[in-house]
Amino acid sequence: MTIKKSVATLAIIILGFQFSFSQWTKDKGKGYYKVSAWYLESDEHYTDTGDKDPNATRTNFNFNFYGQYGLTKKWDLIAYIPFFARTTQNDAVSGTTGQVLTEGEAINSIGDIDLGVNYGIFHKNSWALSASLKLGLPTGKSEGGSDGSFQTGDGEFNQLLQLNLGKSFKLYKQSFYGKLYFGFNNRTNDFSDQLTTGLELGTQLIKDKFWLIGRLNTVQSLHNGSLNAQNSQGSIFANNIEYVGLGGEVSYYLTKKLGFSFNYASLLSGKIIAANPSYSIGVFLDMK
Amino acid sequence: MIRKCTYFLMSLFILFTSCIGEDIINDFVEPELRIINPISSLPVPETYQFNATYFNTIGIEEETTITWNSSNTSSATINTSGLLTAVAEGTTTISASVQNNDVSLIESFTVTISEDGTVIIEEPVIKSGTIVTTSSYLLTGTFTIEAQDNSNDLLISVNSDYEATTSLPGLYLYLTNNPNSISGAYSVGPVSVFNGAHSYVIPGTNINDYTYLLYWCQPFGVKVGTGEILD
Repeated sequence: MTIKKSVATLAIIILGFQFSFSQWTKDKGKGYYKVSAWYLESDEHYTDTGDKDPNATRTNFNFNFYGQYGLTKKWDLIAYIPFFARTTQNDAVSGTTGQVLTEGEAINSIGDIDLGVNYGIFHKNSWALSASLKLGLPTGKSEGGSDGSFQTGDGEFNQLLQLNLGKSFKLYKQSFYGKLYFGFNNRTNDFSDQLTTGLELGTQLIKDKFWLIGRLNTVQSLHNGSLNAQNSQGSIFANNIEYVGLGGEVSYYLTKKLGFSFNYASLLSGKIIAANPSYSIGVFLDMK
Repeated sequence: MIRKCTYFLMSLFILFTSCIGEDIINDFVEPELRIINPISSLPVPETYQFNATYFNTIGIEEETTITWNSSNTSSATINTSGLLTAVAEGTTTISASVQNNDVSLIESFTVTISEDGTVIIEEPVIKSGTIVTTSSYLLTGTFTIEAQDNSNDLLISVNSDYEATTSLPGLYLYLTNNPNSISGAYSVGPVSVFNGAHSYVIPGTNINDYTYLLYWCQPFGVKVGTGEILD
């Protein structure tokens, strides 16, 4: 699936999920750190028509670190480091003879690292507005395996600029927060730039203990990149990926600082992207 | 607590980096015995070597015993390796057969033995077909396959009505005897033309060696479209 480029894109979705509460910057010296295991098993994908087609089963797994550290009251440093990424493809076995037609493969490496900053533009009463800049570094393997399609990175340099608007509120005595974001992802190597939008809603089911978060996000291609199969003979990369994603997260604080979270991300629609849901389980340290 | 979390993460690591699974491919095709180089006429006292290939239930060439027979040995005889010898004027039905445990196949054709004349090759010089998508990706067009004079090369000519999506990464073209698998297929190479007429030269290949064009997405490991090669 990758699945290729699309997996890298899904990884970006996951990164987006890590940015919960990012409209509220950390205070100086405070931080949020999480180590997660992310997993996607994909046997179907959205085609360029938006329909689903089957594909050889690929799995993508990574162990990643996410950190957000308050440099000042207004500036946060953010980092996403998939320090171990693994892509596999199943053996293709004949249903007729039982013999292995194509041997499966597995590639291990580091994934693409994202580094960025988050700046609190204002924070007044229950409202918060921030801007984040994330740089996607092509540290992963953009080619691998016998056909070059085993990727742990997308091989290009992303620059995502995003505005995050958040509000905390109460509804029927229940605490909620809502977040809207809008971003522009400038991409290199002839890939089309992207617009990202998202909506997030979270609530504390148990005060300071148990969070439930739902997310809806979209990525739209601006179709301004020249990369396609015609000018990149045999290229494994897909351009103009688009999707509407729906996901959720539960976070549980075991102590005041330490907790674990479970993340689920799926797509409602898409183009040239893995169609199966991905999962992430993590342990976090919230230094409030 | 930290130790428990570490154990938890290590368990996940072991779980998700364990063995590779299996995809079962529905790749059954009817087994086939194919005369690769049939003729319709042979002059006395010439000989002619027939070549026949057995393709198994997944369309892969498989070694097996092929039994040759001539119905009229006073006109022509054929030995166990398929060498036909013209003896006297007349006609004979040549048959090749395979008898395996669960497969029984026979292919027959008539050969005219003449006192003079030349060998008449029965095989078509040109075959053709239509490319149809088997996915939701755009792929359509017609093609011809032509044996090249004075060489063993094949020329695949894809016609001007051909059109394929440029959105799909890693599109490859194969010649195969199984439209569901690239196992045992001949890789023509990556597709670089997505609109209009173009051609491929396939060296050292008989026009009867393959029965399908197969368009395959390499990264997704799935077929995108096929074109049955018809006489």
